[in-house]
Amino acid sequence: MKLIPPLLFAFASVAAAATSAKLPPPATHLVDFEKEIKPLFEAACIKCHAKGKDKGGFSLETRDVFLKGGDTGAGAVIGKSGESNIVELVAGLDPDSIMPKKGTRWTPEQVGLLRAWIDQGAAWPAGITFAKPPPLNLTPRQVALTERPSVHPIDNLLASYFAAKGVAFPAPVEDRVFARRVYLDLLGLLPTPEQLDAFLNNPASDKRAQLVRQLLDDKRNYADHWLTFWNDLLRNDYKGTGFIDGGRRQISGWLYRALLENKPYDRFVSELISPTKASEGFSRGIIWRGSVNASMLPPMQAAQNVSQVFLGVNLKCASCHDSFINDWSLADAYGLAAVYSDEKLELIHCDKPTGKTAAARFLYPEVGALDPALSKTERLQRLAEIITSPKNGRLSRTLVNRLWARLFGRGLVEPLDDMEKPAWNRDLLDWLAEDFTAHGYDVKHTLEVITTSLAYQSPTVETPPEKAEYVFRGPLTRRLDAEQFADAITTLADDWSRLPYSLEFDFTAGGLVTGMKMPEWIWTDEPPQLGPQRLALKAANAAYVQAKKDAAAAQKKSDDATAQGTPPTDELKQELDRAIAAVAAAQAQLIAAGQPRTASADSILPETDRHRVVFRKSFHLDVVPAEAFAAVLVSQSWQVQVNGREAKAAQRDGARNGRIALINIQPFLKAGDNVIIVDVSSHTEKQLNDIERGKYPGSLIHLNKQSGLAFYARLVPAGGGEPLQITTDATWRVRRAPEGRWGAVDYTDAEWAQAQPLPAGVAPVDEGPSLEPIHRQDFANIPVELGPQLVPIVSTVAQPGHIRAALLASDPLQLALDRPNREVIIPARSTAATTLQALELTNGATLDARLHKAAAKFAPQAARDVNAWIDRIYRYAFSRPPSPDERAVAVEMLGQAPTADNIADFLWAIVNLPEFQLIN
Amino acid sequence: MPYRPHSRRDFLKTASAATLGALAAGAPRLFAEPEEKIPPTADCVIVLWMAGGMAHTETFDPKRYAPFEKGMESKGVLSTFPSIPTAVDGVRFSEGLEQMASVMDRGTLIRTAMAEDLGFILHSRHQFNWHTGYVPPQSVAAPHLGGFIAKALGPRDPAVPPFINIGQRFDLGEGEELKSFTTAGFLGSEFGPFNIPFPHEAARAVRPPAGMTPARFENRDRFYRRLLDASPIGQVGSEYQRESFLRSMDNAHRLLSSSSAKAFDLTLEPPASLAKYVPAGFDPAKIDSAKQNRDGDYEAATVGRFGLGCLLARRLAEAGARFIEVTTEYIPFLNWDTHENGHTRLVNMKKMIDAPIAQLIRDLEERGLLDRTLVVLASEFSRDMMIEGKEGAQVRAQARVPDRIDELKYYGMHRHFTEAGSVLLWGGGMKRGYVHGATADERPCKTVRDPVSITDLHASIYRAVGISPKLSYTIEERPFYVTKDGKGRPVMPLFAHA
Repeated sequence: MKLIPPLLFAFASVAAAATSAKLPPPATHLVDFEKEIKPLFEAACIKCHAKGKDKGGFSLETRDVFLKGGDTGAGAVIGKSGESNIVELVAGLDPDSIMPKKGTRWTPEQVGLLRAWIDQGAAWPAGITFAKPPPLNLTPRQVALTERPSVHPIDNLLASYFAAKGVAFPAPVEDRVFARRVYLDLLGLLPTPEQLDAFLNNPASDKRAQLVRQLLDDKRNYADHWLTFWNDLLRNDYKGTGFIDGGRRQISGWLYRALLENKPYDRFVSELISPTKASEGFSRGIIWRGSVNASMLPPMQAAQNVSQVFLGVNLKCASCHDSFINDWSLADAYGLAAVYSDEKLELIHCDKPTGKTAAARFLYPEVGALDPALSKTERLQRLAEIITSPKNGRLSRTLVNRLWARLFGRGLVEPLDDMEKPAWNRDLLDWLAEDFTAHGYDVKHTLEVITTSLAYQSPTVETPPEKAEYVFRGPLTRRLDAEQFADAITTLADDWSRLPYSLEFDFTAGGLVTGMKMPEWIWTDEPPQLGPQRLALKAANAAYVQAKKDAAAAQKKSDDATAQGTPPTDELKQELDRAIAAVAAAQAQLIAAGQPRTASADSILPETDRHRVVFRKSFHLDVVPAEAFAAVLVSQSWQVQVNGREAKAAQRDGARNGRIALINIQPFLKAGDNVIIVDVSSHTEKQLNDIERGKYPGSLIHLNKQSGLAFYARLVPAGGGEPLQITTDATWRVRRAPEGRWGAVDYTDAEWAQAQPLPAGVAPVDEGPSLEPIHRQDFANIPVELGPQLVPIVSTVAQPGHIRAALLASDPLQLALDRPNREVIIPARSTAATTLQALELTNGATLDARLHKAAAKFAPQAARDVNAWIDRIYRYAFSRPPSPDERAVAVEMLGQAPTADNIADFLWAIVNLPEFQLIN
Repeated sequence: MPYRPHSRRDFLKTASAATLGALAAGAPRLFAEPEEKIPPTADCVIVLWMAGGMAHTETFDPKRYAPFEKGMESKGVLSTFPSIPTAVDGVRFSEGLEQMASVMDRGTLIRTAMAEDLGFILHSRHQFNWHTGYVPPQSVAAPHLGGFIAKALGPRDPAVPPFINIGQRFDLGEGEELKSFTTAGFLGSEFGPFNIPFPHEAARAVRPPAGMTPARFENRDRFYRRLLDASPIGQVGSEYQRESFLRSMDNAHRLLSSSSAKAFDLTLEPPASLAKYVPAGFDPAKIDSAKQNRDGDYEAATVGRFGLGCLLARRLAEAGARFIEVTTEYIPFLNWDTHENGHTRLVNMKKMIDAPIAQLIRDLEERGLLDRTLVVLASEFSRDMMIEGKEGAQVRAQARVPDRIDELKYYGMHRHFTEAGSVLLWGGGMKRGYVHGATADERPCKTVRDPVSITDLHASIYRAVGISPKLSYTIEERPFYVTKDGKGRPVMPLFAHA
């Protein structure tokens, strides 16, 4: 051991003494850690040195770790506060290292407390820790119910709650109030007067439970209603940003099917986290054109959305920096984002690169470990496994909390996206979550459990003031959301839309639609007459013309030489010979280019050239059908003519220039012989012309190697009866079309070939027309497989109509009523009544038109018996008959001979009464 | 029809219930009240939005003029119009803006308004950025400038919606993207825009529905209230919800019956005055059917629509509006969004804006309103013949520029340029006859001094109406500031009395 020279030693102790002298003196009383030091740490230190964070390598989560210290040495020397690192830092002797870095400087008194505490031995009661507390609402927890025979479990748990709060258990509402409420809550529909009467007159003692089960069994209406809820949460059904560049995908087809089939929630979540093509739109996020902030790159979006929707965790703040509103860190957010990232992700802190790479991990390692070395596909699968594992009690709690909020107007935990907050009744939340899990994550089961409780059947209560602690006393009054209001008008007025806005909905799911005769994919194997041939001809012609010019020039040279008296040299002669030979060769090429081409014998899918192909189908009708919709799917551009007139698309798919469309052919049909023509072109007329004009010099042919057409029409006779289904098959005729205007195609059968069905299992692929590179490279112009689109669109034609608001595009009225722009996730809709909404309700054209349409329909009924009609409207709108006073006013308003205007005005008044707009 | 409070409830009582209820309904709370109190110099803001990217060298910052000659070099073209003098010495505008030149002495011109560099340009992203102050994507629904002002200051006149948006249809190209920022976002739809796509039809928005006479409208309302009164008590559950809904219906009814509603009716404007805003013979009914080709016919056919919007804005400002935006309308590849035929179409675009904007300023001045009304003209970015985005940007150009111009359709500013832009401000406390910033006289005609960011431009607008750039509202427990992250600093040289 080296002896420290006495002088230095003395100097050191003098220095220590000198430092000590500059520090505030220690307090003189016995310091209580919990009362005096703990608050100081919490105020000044824990943001950076506790709860999982350790800036400068220093943490004070526990006594041991505190004493161990960090990069600059031990935290403190017990008994020697004057030599303790932490004291110097908080005293701020060195202006370059003062703690805390941000926030208020410690006062001398506070420093003194710290000094005294250290000098007194740094006592730190066991159990006090500044570590991140274990997350709330994470670990599954069984709840034992108090023995209360035949009491519904929710009511059982609430009985204890109410007893503790001194609140009497409310008596349930009357039948008619219950009926209107539960119909709107479970199916989003008003009960019809008939449905209401059936329920009211049902003598069964468990009729409410029966009604609940009956409603949940109505697959279609359940799906149509809850589609809104999930569209809001999954940011689906939106046609805005991202679609312009193919940067966004809908999951409507997948989602609707999942609802129709009541897919178990764990599988539902699994397929959203580790997606199939149909469900990838959610986690894929929105790919924006141009440069995007690091916090909103698609992997970050995925992390934010997955954690918000399924786990009730807000990672948005932590996407740029350690969160100030919760304990999540930048590394946490990036860890989850890294699961979704194709490449390594560098942590970017407030727009500045940190140089650190994110390691893929899950937010709660206690639930499951995720190996960052897995491939992306494997990581997603693993993430899905972890999140849906029974060990993850957060998944089920988050969902049942959302369902509870939907049905009661307020969650067990609020806000709904912050599941780390405690529930106002922990047992209730945990029991519901465990029950949900135990029943196979069946959403309908939990809905049934909740809606059969007496709690759900309680009278509504006023929203309590926010400042006070929340005490549950019953459901809150809620308001019809935009879609429910639209559907209420639809059902009241019996004014239904026939076609959904999207062609992705598969109505065969859940067995809704059966008995469809599926069309076959057909094409032609006739040799092409046009295409590269035409261009080859052009090129050959140009070459021939050039060759002739060269030959003429060579001839002239030769002639000039002769004219000057110098006979042509051998060189010149050879040149001339070559030129003449070239002309002959070019001519031969030209002739060859003009020969008809043949397709290769064994290819039923010939390499298709630029061409037009026309298909046709003849059929006979005795009478014109009442309804006739058709679906057309083709890998190229198309036009449909029915009996010589063009039938335009009623609905197109947005993704691929309308290769897939719905058409209304009824207006064009006639009794007798009918002909349907489908004229298919690999390019539109404009594109053909542009190619001719050299606008797209890079493109010669389009790329569809797998072409095909499917057509399905369903003709519904007036007065019912078996519909006639017209489908593509080998009976269709086909020929390649020559140049010329549309419609100049000869229609006699004789010259037409039979269409060729594609081999089984083969479906066309739309690779899109070849356009200038600017459009292909930068836009996500991925080939579209038409096969998976066939069943949904055929089922859309085959379904009987009655399309509800969630499957239709929004309108100004719904927009005013807060049907959202789904740029961000919407956990719950606003219920505030705004002036702009009221303006739209008062004079907006949308509502006005709908009510006038309804009024025209109702006029005969109302004229016949105005009292009965008023009665029916009240029973439909409010689930009760009108009071004598109301009836008197209504009769006065409508008059003895109600006009359509009277009726429209009366309906307007009805739908704008608070009783109509609110769910009591 | 005088406003009649609902008979069942004491008006005062419902007012206090409203505050509680608003909190309960989760209305965004003020996050922090900034300490400084700013005396406003404006009570009303009118934004004249030149949607589509207005080239500064073709409008308010003219450079060397190169007249069209077949075979001319593209790179030699900076301006396709000669310049003209304005009412301010030494300040020149581009030909076609003579009227606006004559009112330049009432206002301030910023020549160095900058747009963000967002890579491969998409109009709606830059429009979102300009209108909300934030670059999309955002993790919350960001409010429009008008939404923030409506929320912070409320309506000037309770009968006039505080945020009015004139001239934009949403059912056309990129309409959904436009909706994403034409909203009050997380502030709630109470502060959202009252949309009037067609100014000549504005009156319809504040009248009974089409085909309904005023008498029938009042009759309907009377019976509505009688049905309400006749309904048995307690059928609805929440009294608060009921009252709040009825109050909103009352407000709507009040607007439709008030004298303020007359402000929306352009037919009430004296023809002589109307003629100053709209060229003779303009038929607004033809707007919908106007052919949307890119040769210039569309702009010619719709030339009066913006003027009608300016007139409507003036009438609404007189009636007590708080925030009005009038746009020339964003339609991809039309109006200011010139990807070809830039020169030809700018002739019409300047006709579209010159007379009405000048008249708006003169009318406001004549009515003594200009001092307290801030009028702002702006666009999402500028344009250049050669440069796409900014000098040296590695992005794909979105317009074809041949080396030599053979056809008139290639003569004009067809690419997007973010390094300069012209913004004009009149009234509301702004200097008169002042030019802020300078741009280069050779390509790139970018800002050479005093750049003004969107953030600071917004801070200036907010300051004019008395709002701190650090004002913020809570959403998901985080503060969301009216200027980006609260960092906006008003450009004090713009203000007449700093």
